[in-house]
Amino acid sequence: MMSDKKGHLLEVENLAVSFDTYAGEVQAVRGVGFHLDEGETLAIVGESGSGKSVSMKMVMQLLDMPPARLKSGSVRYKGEEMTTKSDKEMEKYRGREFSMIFQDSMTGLNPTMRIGRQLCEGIIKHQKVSRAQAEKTAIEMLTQVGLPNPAAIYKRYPHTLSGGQRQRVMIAMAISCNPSILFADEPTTALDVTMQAQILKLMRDLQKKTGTAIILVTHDLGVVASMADRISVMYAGQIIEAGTAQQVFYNPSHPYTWGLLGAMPNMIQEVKEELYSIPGTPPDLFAPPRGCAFAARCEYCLEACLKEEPGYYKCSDGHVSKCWLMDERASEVKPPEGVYTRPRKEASV
Amino acid sequence: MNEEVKNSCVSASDFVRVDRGMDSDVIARPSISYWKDVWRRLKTDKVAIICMVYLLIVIAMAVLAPLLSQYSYDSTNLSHLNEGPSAAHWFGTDQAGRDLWARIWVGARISLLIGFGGAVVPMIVGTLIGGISGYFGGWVDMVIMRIIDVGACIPDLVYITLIMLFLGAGPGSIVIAIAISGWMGTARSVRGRMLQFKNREFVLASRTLGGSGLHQIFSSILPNILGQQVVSLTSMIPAAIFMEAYLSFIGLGVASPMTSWGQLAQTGQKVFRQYPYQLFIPGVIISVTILAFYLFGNSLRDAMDPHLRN
Amino acid sequence: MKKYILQRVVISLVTVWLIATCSFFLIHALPGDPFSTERIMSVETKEKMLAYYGLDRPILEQYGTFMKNLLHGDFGYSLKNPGQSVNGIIAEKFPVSAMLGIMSWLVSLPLGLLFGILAARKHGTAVDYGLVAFSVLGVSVPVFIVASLFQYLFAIKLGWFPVSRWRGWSYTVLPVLTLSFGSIAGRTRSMRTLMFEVMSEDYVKTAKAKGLSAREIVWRHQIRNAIIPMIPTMGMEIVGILMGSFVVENIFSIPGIGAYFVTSVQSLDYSMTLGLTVFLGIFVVVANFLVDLIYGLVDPRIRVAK
Repeated sequence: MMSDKKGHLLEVENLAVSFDTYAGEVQAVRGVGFHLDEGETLAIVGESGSGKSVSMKMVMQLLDMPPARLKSGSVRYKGEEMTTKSDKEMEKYRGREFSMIFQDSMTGLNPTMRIGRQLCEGIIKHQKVSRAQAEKTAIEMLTQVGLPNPAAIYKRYPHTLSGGQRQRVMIAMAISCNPSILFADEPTTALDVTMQAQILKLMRDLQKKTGTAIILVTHDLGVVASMADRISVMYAGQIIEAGTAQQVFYNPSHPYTWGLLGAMPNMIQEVKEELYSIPGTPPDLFAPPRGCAFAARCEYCLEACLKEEPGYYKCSDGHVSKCWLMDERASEVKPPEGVYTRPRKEASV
Repeated sequence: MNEEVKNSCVSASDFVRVDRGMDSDVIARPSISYWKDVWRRLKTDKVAIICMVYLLIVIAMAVLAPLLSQYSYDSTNLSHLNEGPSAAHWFGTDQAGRDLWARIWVGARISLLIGFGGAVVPMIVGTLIGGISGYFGGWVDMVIMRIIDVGACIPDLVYITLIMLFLGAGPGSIVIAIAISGWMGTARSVRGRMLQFKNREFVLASRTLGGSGLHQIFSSILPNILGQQVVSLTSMIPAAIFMEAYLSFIGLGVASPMTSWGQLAQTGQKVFRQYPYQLFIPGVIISVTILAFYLFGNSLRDAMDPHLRN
Repeated sequence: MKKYILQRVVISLVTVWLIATCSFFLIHALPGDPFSTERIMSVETKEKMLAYYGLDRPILEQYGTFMKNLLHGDFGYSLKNPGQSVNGIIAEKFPVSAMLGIMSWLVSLPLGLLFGILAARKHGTAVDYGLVAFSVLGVSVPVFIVASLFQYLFAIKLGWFPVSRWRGWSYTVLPVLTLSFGSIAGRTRSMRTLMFEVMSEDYVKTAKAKGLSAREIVWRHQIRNAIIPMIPTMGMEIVGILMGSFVVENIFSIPGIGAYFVTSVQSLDYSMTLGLTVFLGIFVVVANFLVDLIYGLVDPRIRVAK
């Protein structure tokens, strides 16, 4: 993956972020790397606290520093290094080149400002247009995200809208300046299932129309299945497996990914047994373990896993796994039942 | 992301499965109890330690100083009126020739008692009423909340005046007056927390295991709201001391010859232009004590919730 | 919104009624009577006086008269200031107290907000530390100490302002400064905290993600949302200023209502105490009502929801 450095829209390498708290240093992100090409969708999957959201916010430099601190790493956008840019310089990128959709649209929109004004702010700032022109664009955006009666919504306050409507507003806001990368941080977690499907469809449609690349941060593999071209799985601040959606879904090679897939409800197959759940809790990021971070919860744990952190092993082209089981010295293990036997149909939903 | 594994200390023999029983939680951090943890963090906070030492000294002085002093707080000496601080009278004497050192520490007893009483009494009353309101819900809750709605609109001054009139000036009346106007805030927040906790898993679990209502309040809910209560105590104590000083100052509080810091400041204020020390000494002690309580409260809150700290 | 206003009106009326009723019965339940402190009075005169003021009637009848008069806004006559009606005293003295209070409020509100915003914006710098120190000190030092210190320093030592009395603009400076000192400090402190709280809200992140500058975020998103939760506390602050004004009036010899309040309580002047308590109670209740109304107008969530 690291070999071809040219041509990627966004490249993140060895990103490490810590939070300095009263109780000590929390190593939230510990050496994360990924890349993104134009128009594609990368999903970053992991449970809460795995550092996926922090990584995204670091790329956009939305974290408050302090307490957050960039320990190492580089973020290159169109070949340009972003981590050294000042806050002032970043303003030109945020909203225009990168934009973000947050998980909770209730708290993500300013409760005391009308929708219209919140939408226009960014448009006026980046497109340098008059208020009236901005209003036109804003209403057009509201139409694009499928909101009925956009002119009325324009004048309303966030709390008078439903969750789905608010999330559409958030999307309208995020795409209003035609960004090349859209960071979607758990965009559908706060919504019910039907609404989830609608919002995901909207995002896919808009992506087809505008060619925006999307980084989708989620803990929900169902969301990933319908959206992602490629998937990176995060655990305890590190990416532990990365590959195309096909590879990760149908040829997963990290026990944690097995666990995640096993824990996913399967709508097509009849539920015969209980959903699998991964035992234990994620490690304490105040003092991450010396070996593999997942070792303590891993059913296949080797002596090596406790001794030293594994490197990335190449499983196939573009598919890597950070697991000692991939080492040629380890004997082969079979993933649990149900990980491979899932019907292939699901990926094309 | 290559598959190179260089400088590794892992050998071929390490590639055997770790044998572990069902229990996989072995690497959990040694669990220190919550309050021990708070104390550990508090100890590293210089401001907190300074405030704590100061407050302990004041409390010790309030208990011991009047016992050790050769002067009584109410014995007058007409040949030593309004004398500045000296070797004989460390804080000087007042216009009746009474020793101010003795009076300050007797006053400290009253002021601190009012401070603790004025914080603990409304806290207990508020916790009880708020707990009942939140626990039972329904019409009980409705009635209590309406009473609080109305009660909160009545200014403290009205309560205090009426109580003072009714019970007469004195430390007890001040505590009661503060309690009557102060319980409502606590009741509201306890009720809120109660509603939050009522349906939490651990409370439900305790109910499933056959815990009775009261038992539940005491065993699973109270310990969870204790932290917040302790923090709000550290701001209610100085508020009560402040209130005592105010009331005594405008003449509705403690009356001579009994004394309190507020009463000392009031008498000092009358002769302030001639004998500034008579206002200055009690004034500084009141201010520094209130300051110490506030700062200690802040540190305690930070120590109890390290994530809040910016 | 209509329902919200109605609800507030009802609560306010109940509160006023409660204050009046409780005050009335508590005062009448006190041992002794207003004239028992004056020893020179003969039994006959005393009875005449009691009859004159209607204090010999059954308590419920007195209560009825009191409530009827109250509805007409009449508090009756002072027992200890012969020939003066309570209304007259209030009309004469309260404007001075109100003037002092309003001026202090007008000084403390913008300054407190400004200091709070400044401290939050300059977080971790000397400006922040200075303002935090000021705000902590300001809420710890009782108003009578501040008053005495200001008087000593600026009037007696430096001679910049008159020492006491209330005869013109220069006389107002020290009392107003004293009275607003604590409010400025308290407000600085809470505004700073609220600014930090708002800073970690998601919508501030959204605004930042839109590419707005730090300045734009502060002015458009943070300040308004930080001020809103402060509005309900303004009612409390009015009470604080009112209470502080009693002390300030005393120290600076300002002819306000404070002195009457304290002396009437101490001398068991029934009608005066009752009148002043109810009057100040109504004043605070009305102030609270207005504050609630403003809160409802400023926060769109309440405007629609209630």
